[in-house]
Amino acid sequence: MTLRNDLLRGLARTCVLSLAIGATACGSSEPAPAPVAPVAPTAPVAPVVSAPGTLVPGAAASVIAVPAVPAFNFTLDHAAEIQIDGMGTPDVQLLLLSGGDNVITSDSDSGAGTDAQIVVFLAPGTYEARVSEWRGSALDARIQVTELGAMTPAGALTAGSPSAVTAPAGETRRAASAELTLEITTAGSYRVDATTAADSGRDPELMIHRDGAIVGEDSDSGEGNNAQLVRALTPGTYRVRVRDWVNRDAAITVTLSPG
Amino acid sequence: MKQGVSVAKPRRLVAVLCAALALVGASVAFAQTLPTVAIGAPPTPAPAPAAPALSLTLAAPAEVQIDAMGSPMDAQLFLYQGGSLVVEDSDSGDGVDARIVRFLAAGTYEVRVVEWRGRAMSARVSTAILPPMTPVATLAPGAPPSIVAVPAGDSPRASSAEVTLIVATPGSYRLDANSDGDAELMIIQNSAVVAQDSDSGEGTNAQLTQVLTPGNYTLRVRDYSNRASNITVTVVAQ
Repeated sequence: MTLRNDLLRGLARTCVLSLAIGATACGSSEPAPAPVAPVAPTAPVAPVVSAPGTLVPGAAASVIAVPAVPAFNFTLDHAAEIQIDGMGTPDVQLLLLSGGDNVITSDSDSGAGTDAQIVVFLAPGTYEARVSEWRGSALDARIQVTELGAMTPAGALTAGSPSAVTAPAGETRRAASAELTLEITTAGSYRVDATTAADSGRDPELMIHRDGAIVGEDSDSGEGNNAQLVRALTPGTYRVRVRDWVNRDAAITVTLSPG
Repeated sequence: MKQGVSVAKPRRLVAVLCAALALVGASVAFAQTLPTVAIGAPPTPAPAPAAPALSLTLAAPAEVQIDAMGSPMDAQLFLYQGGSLVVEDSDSGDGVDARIVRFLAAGTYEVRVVEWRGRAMSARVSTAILPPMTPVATLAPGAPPSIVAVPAGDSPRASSAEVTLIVATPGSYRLDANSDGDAELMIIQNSAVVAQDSDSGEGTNAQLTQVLTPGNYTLRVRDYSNRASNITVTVVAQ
């Protein structure tokens, strides 16, 4: 299969090169040009060509084959919060894609040191993780995909009873988050607010998720920097996740009211 | 006429064959099976060799342009010297092509090319030594300020203008580049950057205090955002 690909690529490349130099061997159906009168021979002007592996200023462009970076598939049979780690040296980068070249997200340094780490809620399906080095250096990397377990809730959110939540400082969004359970028994439109004291200097973020899928998330739709979500919710168990925008510790008040 | 037709047909056939094979090749590449990582499994090794590199040797200092063209892929350029990154670029060329324009000292450099999303790519890489710009004025320390009109441009160089500075007496000089926008200032001599500044003057104006030996220098000015601007250039002895 590799040999076949190489042959196909080689043939395609031959076509391109032929076109580039004006030849007609790869598909042109134009008539042959009319003969031209001979001209006196002149000294040939040799184009400047770079030696292999080198660049010479002013020379014709060198063609360089850049190989694809290491890539891996993983498949989810259910929605989940997933952590993908790209670990190694010098500086691992991660790219998460689905459906060909559709980039979902990327990360450079969210893991330990300069390791890359992606934490994301994903729907069932097959995904591709690509691993590369930040500046194109040789890479000694390892990749790991983990389904994250549910966070331990700090309490339960009920209508008409504000919940005071302390979100810890953390190095990642998840580590700096706290969660409340939210039990919906009656379908309807609900409003969830995440607020901090005006003089706290904090900026609350809010996410509602259920069964490994994000229902909604918000940053600043409330007053000031506060977060607010209004969503139609069906009966079931939800989680309300809050944190500070830049992962500082934060005292966040969460309220549930009819939307 | 018949001869022409009989020649054209095989050419069409070859063209169709080329196109078909290219499509088959693309389909094969698209269907390529990647190794699988099991969720929850121990870390899987993912080694990769260094990105392909080209060597560039400069016999003398120069302002150099390096282009990496890989459309429809997205070439990224990294310029190294002695293992240290000098400069990198993503999209300063046409479209999403990469372009580096930089004053470089004599020496050997390494040009690395990667694709933004890590895809395989065939990139064309070229380099050129840029000719000196034509100065729009000549200035001497203590002379009245020069008002230099810089054009809008797609790049720092394209939006720059240059003034020749003639220094007759060694000493410390203060150079100011002031504008209503955000003036940038660079001192160049013999294709090497002596000094450059962005915002050391009042507001976002540029200012340099530099010991200069007698000789001719080039002052390059532009707007930080590559907008058209009138920049007032002043040089006084300190």
